[in-house]
Amino acid sequence: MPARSTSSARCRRTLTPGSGSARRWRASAAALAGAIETNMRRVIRGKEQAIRLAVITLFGSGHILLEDVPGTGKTLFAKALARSVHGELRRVQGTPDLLPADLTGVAVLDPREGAWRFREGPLFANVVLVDEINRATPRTQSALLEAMEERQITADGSTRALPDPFMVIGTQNPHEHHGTFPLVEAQRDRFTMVLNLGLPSRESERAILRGEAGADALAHIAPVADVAAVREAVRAVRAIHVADPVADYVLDIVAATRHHDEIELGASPRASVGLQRSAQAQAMIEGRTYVLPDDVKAVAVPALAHRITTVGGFDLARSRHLIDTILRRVSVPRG
Amino acid sequence: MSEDAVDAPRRWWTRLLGDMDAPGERSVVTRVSALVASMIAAFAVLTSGLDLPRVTWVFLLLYPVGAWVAHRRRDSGATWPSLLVTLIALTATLLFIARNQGVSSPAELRAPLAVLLIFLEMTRSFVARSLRDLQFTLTAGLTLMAMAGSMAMSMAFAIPLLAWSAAACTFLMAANRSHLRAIADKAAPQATRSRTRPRLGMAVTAAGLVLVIAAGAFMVIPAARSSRFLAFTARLPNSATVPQPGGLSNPSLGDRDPSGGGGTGGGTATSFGYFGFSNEMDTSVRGRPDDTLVMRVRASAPDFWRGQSFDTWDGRRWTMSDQRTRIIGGQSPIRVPPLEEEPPADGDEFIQTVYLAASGPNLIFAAYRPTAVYIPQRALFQMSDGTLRTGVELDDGAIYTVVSHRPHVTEAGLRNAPDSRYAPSAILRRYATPTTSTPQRVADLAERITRNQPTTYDKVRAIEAWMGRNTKYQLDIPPLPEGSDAVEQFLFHDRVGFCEQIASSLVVMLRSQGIPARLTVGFTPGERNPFTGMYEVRADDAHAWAEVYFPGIGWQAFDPTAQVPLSGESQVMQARQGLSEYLRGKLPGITAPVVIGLVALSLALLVIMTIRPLRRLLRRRRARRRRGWAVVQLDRIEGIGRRAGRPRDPAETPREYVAALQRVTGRDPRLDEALEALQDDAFSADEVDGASRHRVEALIGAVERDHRRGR
Repeated sequence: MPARSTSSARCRRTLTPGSGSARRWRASAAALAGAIETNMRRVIRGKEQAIRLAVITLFGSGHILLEDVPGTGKTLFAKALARSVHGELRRVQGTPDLLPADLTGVAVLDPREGAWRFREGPLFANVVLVDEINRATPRTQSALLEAMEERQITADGSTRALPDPFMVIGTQNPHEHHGTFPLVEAQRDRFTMVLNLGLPSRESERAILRGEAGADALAHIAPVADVAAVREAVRAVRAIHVADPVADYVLDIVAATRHHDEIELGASPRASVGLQRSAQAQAMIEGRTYVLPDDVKAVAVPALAHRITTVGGFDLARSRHLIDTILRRVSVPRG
Repeated sequence: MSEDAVDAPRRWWTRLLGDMDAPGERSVVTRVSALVASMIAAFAVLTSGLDLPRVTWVFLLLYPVGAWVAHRRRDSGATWPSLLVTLIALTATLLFIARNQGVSSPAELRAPLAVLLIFLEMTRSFVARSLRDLQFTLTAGLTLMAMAGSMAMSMAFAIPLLAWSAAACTFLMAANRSHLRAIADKAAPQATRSRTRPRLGMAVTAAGLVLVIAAGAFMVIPAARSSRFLAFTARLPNSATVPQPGGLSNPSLGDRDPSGGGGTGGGTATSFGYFGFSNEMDTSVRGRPDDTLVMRVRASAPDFWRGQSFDTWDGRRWTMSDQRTRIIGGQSPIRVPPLEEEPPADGDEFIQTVYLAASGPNLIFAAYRPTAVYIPQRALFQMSDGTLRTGVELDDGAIYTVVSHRPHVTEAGLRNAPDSRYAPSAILRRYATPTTSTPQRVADLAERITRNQPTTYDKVRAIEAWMGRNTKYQLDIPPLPEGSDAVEQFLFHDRVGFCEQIASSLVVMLRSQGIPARLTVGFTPGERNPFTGMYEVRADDAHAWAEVYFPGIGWQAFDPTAQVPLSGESQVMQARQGLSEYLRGKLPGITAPVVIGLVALSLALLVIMTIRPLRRLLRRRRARRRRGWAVVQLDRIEGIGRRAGRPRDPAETPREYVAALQRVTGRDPRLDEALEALQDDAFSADEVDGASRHRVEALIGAVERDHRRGR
């Protein structure tokens, strides 16, 4: 993998987990998350919540869908994240003529050797930014989503594993519908979280103008972790303890979405898994070895809202509101 | 030790408690308490009455040296000292076996065994480096204490016992302090302030519990029975022979000593001087002995401690017609040949050990039908009525053990016995011939009382009942007029009397009806000390009673004044037997209500001391099993909030709620700290430990108090 081969002596602050005890590892995982967040905040101003959720998704080995108007820093966000973990970033622009092979790569004939060689497509990266994902054809979308789920691609009859970690950051403009192929419920479900960056505050925008943040700042940040550290963190997240009452709480919330009058299609079992995994990552980032109901609450809205379909059609804002009311209704376990 | 001890002035107890935190074998407390316990145990054996060689004291004095050496070398890994000690121990054990090859009774083994144990402990103390070694030391001490306890005769053993228990408890507490701390943490929530208090409270609770359980067990367990496996004790401190071989000697009678040798004593009778322990018994003599302790008897049941009997009555005095004695002897124990007149019968073996506390007659006191006597003598003297005499004076400190065969006698058995007419003619001649001096009206009275009674037993009971109705038991009676018949005077004139009058009348009346009877003297069982399990026989327990002969059964004691159950009808005795009498005797002037009140008060105190912490523990455990400790504690926090007007919304997480509560009541870091531990307990894979729980409970309690006070 190219990203690993270029790991350099420059990265003094790189956190690499040793072979120490699990406890030491958890502490360093929390520190790792903190370092990534700090790094990203130097580029993306005033979006602490989105940054936190992005790190959660990264550690929970999920994918992010950024929904926003153009120019709010979606690409910058993805670049900052990729650079922070010293991972390789590739970018794909979603267009109606984008073919699945454009993503996976194709076999080409090497004229010197006279043999077929597989040329890896943009999916072979740690962070893949798929801009305007809803402009790609449903066929291409399906191929992408398949790769997101399986973390491998099949091309030319052979199966190839994608890099680890592998994270897709899709973006789409919620206000533009001409010439788009909106993601259907099943496809949205593949994303762990849907985030809105929103417009920056006046203060943040001033920093961007001064060059203290934004694209100019990107050149000044150094990686704070390597992909191996992220892999370790992903493994550690799965070991975070989920007590039975907390698991029940997750199930209660998901069940509530399925029996809600204003919700046509409730959250899927994949949503339960995603919610729990995100809560685990949140707990780990906070330096805990177990999940609190607070962790579940903290990630429930971004993890669930895009996975339910409200009566009268999908409406993310309304879904968020509904999840919020559900959280305010489902009783919290105390032990 | 935690940091709070560092800034606090280190008082000696702080240092000691700090030492308690050291691992077992490093802790001085552990070692010293084990040493003290083993020394007390050895001391108790040395002073228990076993005649141990002087050198044993040297062993005892070497104990501290050994402990010091072992403590100094506690980190040494050298094995040669252990090997050396093992060799020495093996040699000593082999020597012990070789020297005690020809021992016939376990009693002789006891003293050498004690010496061997003390010696082995002494050698082992030099290499007792680890905590486990010290635990062995404690166990060996327990063995020695048991040995000393089996020898103990009086309450004086309580002193070494209590001292040993204190040392042993200290050792156990010091050796198991980590477990103890966990318990203490659960039991007493004040621990955040003081670390010594919960330990103390726990110790008090434990002691209270032990007391309650021990008292409860004491009230219900049966009394210990003498076991045939226990070695029988026997000791004679004085080997002065009696003036007349086979004769009766009773120096305590002073001038009246039947052997005539007691004149040197100045002529005054001492406490053992019951005039019945003589060659004759004059019923005109008045005055009773005092309550001096004359002997202790270890036995599994009360019985008459029979001394001797009289067969001849002249109207005032009882004498013995047959003064011949025969020598019985042999190896210890001395087997007592059965008398011809006593037919063999089913019965149980009854073992009694008599510890003389005052010098007295050379009579062997025992329940009737002694079959073997353990006494360091080659011979005893047996009389034709079964009386046993020793050849030496029996002084204070003399110990002998008698095995008696008590036939199973029941009322029905006595009723079914053949009529007295079928008794052996020798018996009838000697015991059933009415003396010529018996006044006719005595015989008439007896005839009138027994006329309608079908069996000998009923006749005896009828006479007893008549006397019970018509005469009064009284120690202070008028002197016997010159020339009058003692029985006639008692039955027809005075109508008051004590055991001699009553028993003599019973014997004389029975004889007038042709029933063989004789007068027996000895002691009533005495008062049982429930703590030592021994009957304490005092001089004024000296007693006279009647024995009646039943053909096919033998002699049977009857006594209208002392209630002693028939041996066949005695019940299982409880260890507490005699407790109330004992306490009443020891606490003079205290009436029953006061005693009951005191007992109730102490019981209540114990209940408060033990039940409350126990209940708290149980309640907590039960609550935990039902709802979880964290939930219980959260309930308390929610209670605080409810009272402050901010109840928890069910959809609020504990953290959200505690934050919201602090917005209402003001910031309180105690709640935050408690919350962290509660979350840990409720949601993590592990429960929080006792100390943290404890601290959380204390924190919440403090917040509760503050809120209550603030209101």
